[in-house]
Amino acid sequence: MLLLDDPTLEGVGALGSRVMVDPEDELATRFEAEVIPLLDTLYAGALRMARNPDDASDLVQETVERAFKGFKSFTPGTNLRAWLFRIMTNAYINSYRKKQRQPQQSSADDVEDWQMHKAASHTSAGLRSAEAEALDRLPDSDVTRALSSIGEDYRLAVYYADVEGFAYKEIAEIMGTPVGTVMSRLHRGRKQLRELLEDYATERGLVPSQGEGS
Amino acid sequence: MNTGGCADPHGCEDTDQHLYEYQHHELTPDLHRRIEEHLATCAHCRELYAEEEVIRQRVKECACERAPEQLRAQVFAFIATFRTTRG
Repeated sequence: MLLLDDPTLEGVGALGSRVMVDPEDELATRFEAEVIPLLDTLYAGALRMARNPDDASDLVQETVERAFKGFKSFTPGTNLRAWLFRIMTNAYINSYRKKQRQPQQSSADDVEDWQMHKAASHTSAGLRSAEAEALDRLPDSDVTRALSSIGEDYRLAVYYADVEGFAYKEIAEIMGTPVGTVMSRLHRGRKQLRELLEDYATERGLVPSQGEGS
Repeated sequence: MNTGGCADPHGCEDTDQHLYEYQHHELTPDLHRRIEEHLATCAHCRELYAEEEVIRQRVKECACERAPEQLRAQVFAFIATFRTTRG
């Protein structure tokens, strides 16, 4: 389902050649200057995919290797971050996820579903303010826990939009899906995230309990 | 849908449906402005939106772990193997 060019197709060549001013050197220098500053970003993204530090590190390492091999085909001035995330997505799907055999969290991506959604359980304005307050006071670990609890496609869509700030079109390219699917994933992901965070806030007694049900 | 007695329930529906696109600046200028105007008049949707802003902000703050030093070192080492004139 990924219709993307494989950025790893281009060979590195010239390995071990003894040329004095090697274009590979220049490439390595440029790669280092541009990609190293994005390592934290890549690692945080990898954590959203692999969900444990060791696998996330492996995934970043593999992404960097693939990216280096394909770096000549990267057009300077275009979005390097998006390009790297596309490579990481491919690396994750092609090697890591296959190996891992995670139960695939299906995310029936029908757009209609969220479009029909109507806001549920609105209560008094006073409670909502308290709710915003409560969400703000949740420990960071609750937020990352909620994020890692929602379906993978949802989690990544939310990550790309809310953390990386990618445009929907860019997310669609990274994930290899139509923009409508991205929107659907974002809607569902954010709704689920909100529900989880609200649950956590209630469990922690951060929300004044407001009757039972809904 | 309970719109908290808002005088513009259609606006509430639009806002509910497009809240995230609004938040991510993905709407047409026209629809964006319509929702902006609705938010200015509807306390109910404004609060809903404020909560979604808190959630987005929290996600943004919490999902930005730093790469471990070991990974950083591995990546430097990897790049170094491709250099022929320097280390």
